[in-house]
Amino acid sequence: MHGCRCFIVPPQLLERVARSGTPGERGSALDTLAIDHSVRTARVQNALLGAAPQRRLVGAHCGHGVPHRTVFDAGHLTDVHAATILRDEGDGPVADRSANEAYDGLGDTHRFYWEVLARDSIDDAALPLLGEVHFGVDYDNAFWDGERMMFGDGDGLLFTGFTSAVDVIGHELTHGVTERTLNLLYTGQPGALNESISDVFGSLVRQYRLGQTADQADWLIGAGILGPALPGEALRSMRAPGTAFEGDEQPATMRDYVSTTADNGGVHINSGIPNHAFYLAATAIGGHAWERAGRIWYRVLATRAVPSGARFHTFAQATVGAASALFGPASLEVKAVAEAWAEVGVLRSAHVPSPVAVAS
Amino acid sequence: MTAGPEAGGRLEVERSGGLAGLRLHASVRLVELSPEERRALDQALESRAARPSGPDRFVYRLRVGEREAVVQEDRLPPALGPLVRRLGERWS
Repeated sequence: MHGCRCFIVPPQLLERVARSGTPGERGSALDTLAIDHSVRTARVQNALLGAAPQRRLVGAHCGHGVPHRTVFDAGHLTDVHAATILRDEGDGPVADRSANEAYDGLGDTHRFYWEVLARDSIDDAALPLLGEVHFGVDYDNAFWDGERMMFGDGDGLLFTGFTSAVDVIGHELTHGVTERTLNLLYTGQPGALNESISDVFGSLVRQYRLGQTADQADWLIGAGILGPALPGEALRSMRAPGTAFEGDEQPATMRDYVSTTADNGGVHINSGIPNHAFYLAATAIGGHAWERAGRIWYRVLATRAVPSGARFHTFAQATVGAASALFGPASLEVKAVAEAWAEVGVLRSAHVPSPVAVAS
Repeated sequence: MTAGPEAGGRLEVERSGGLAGLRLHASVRLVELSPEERRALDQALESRAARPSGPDRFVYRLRVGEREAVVQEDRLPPALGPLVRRLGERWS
């Protein structure tokens, strides 16, 4: 490894070595420059995110920011963690398509968090990413169990599988990120925020992989995994909540908020409201949604800006505060975020936060 | 006929939650349940609501007449697993 040389060797010197040194020196200098570049990017991003850059820099220098993936075969069982490895980090593709899709999706999610948000895996400390495919029999679900990501195969009627949807994988791993940052309660409004945060970053993982701008993205979650018994195009639409499939009950605004005891208080229903707020903010800001709207939302997590029982209003105010901290109180971003939350009925439309009110 | 109210009764099951958040219903006549399933069901109907077991897990609401319980997926008695899978073919 490179140790921590790049802390003390100026890049200009490395560039000179890279141009004029012996082949060995040149290779080493080029490697160091490559790492240094990613560290520099991380440093800028960490500063933007208000994180502790020194700690991250050391981590980055010592080879972090690389995924450690293992995909297991659950063997259609549900009660134990599987031990049979289908594909381990660095292995080439295997015969099992679900295993390859899970492996790639875990990698895409890890890459997004590291390259965009300078977060090194779920815990920001290089936590290995473990997944199990073929969980249960005809199991119509995928979930994060706190340690591993579990993928059912689907029953072929409601769902045809889950590993093919990278945003679903991003959604699940983000539950791990939320658990380790805001630790939002999984019921009612904090539960719906928990769900929405998973949809937001799940969608951004997919947009980042596809290189899409906010205008180009379809803002769907789980496109392509619905079976014939569930007519529609996806699980959820952030652009138009309530339209993803026949029977989609998601509201887009507070006016249609659904009071229910099912689904832990409708956590997958009312997530439509904060989902739509993110969509509105991201499209108003424009460009790649992960570059500004995504960083604003992530800052709320990274700085643990709201308590675990936070409701929509508290979270909305925190995103406005995060936008102000990142881009300035009079920025386009602050305006876009505040207006987005007003449009879904969470913040008052006249709400223009003063710099004092949003100081973190 | 002196059959009790439950003899012709039905078990109504609502499954909600999961990554998709779908709310599905199914019902089964109690006479279709095995004695083991009846025992497990009786116990489940007496259970108190537990905290959500984790994100995107299923939540079951079981109802027989006036008796009702909300059971998180990982608290569902193992004896009811096959029943729930059978009901999966009847979700509406």
